[in-house]
Amino acid sequence: MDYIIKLENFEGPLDLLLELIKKREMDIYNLQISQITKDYLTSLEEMKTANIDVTADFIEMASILLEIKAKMLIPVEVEKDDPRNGLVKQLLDYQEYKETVVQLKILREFEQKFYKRQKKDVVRKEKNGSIQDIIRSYKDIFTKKFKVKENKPFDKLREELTKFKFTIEDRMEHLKELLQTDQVNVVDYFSQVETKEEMVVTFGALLELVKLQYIDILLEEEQVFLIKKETPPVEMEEETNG
Amino acid sequence: MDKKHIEALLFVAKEPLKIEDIVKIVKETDESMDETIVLRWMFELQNEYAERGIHIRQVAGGFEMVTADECFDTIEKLLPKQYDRLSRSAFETLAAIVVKGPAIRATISKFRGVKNPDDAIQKLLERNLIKHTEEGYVTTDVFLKEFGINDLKELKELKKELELLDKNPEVSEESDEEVTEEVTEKEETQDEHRE
Repeated sequence: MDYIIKLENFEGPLDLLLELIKKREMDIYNLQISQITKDYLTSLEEMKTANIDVTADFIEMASILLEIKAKMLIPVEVEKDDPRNGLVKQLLDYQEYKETVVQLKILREFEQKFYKRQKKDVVRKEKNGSIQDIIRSYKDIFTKKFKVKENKPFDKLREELTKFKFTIEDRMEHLKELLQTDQVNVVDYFSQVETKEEMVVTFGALLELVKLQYIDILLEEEQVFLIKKETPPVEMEEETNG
Repeated sequence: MDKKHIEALLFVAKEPLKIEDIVKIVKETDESMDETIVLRWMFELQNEYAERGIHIRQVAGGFEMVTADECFDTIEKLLPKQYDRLSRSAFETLAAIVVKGPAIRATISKFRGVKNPDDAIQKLLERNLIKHTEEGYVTTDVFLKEFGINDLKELKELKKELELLDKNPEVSEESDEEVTEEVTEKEETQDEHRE
């Protein structure tokens, strides 16, 4: 009988192994290791013949199987230390993962049959921005604001930096406070900044908050907004008129 | 105060409303309100709506109004759906996180059988479907909402129902193909090294 299955499409050794087990109608909890090892090795050979790249992962699994097979040959007194346990656990996890992929697809497909207030508009009008959008705003304002003072000698700048009163931490706190109540328009926020140094620190604070996953960047009609992640559900002023 | 206030709240809310949030709101006008009353009204409303074109359902731990699924074909004529599609890599990454969450990069990489899972992870982060924690990636409330799940534990129970669906090839196979087909090609070729 031919237990070699269509060879492409395997996402990894576990995928292949699971398929072989299914073909043999074997119980995962009671793997016949020597049979499945044989099938597995034959499959690898077939893959090589078919010019499919047999990667290190596949080879590693082969050696795991052989190791288990060898251990099974040695009579063990303590029953519970079955050499197959580790592999079985991996296979079960992988099987659950495969099922979940299918499950999620079905759920999502089904979910799209539901219409809710605003869902459509929100999806279309706003989109998630990225750090690039902030950088763009930052550059724009930076050049606009500080073009004039460009010629400031470095010594003076350094002097200012040393007595500099802003810290990234302070700025982060300030932003967090603002975000508690409302979303923040990046351009507006940067515009209030007075000095170059403050600008740099503000930008640093922004990056830090993005890194910490504290804020979301939102693009709405070419304007960049910052909002706090996980907006509380009760927030209805804008939505009442549909 | 009576239950029509709850009904009105559900109607205007953009996000699923949690019972405790509703209680907080109604208490501002009527001190005597509490969770028991709100919850009772909610279930009454749910029953009253059961046969209507709009249903009240529970998602991500809150309540929301949605159109009845059997009306989908009709509504679609007026408002064609423009939902973002998810790629196969996105589904796989989500599945790995659902099964093993909090899941670290290596776990996702192993389940998916790819060396570099970062692009898919990044996209999901940007869409707020997952978030980063110290122990690894976990799914978010946005994920629950977009997949119509009330609670992750519910997924296990859903599995049994879906297994029944699965035996009906029409449903599972078809939807499966449809989702993956058009989305994967572009992405997969450029950023994945499937092993």
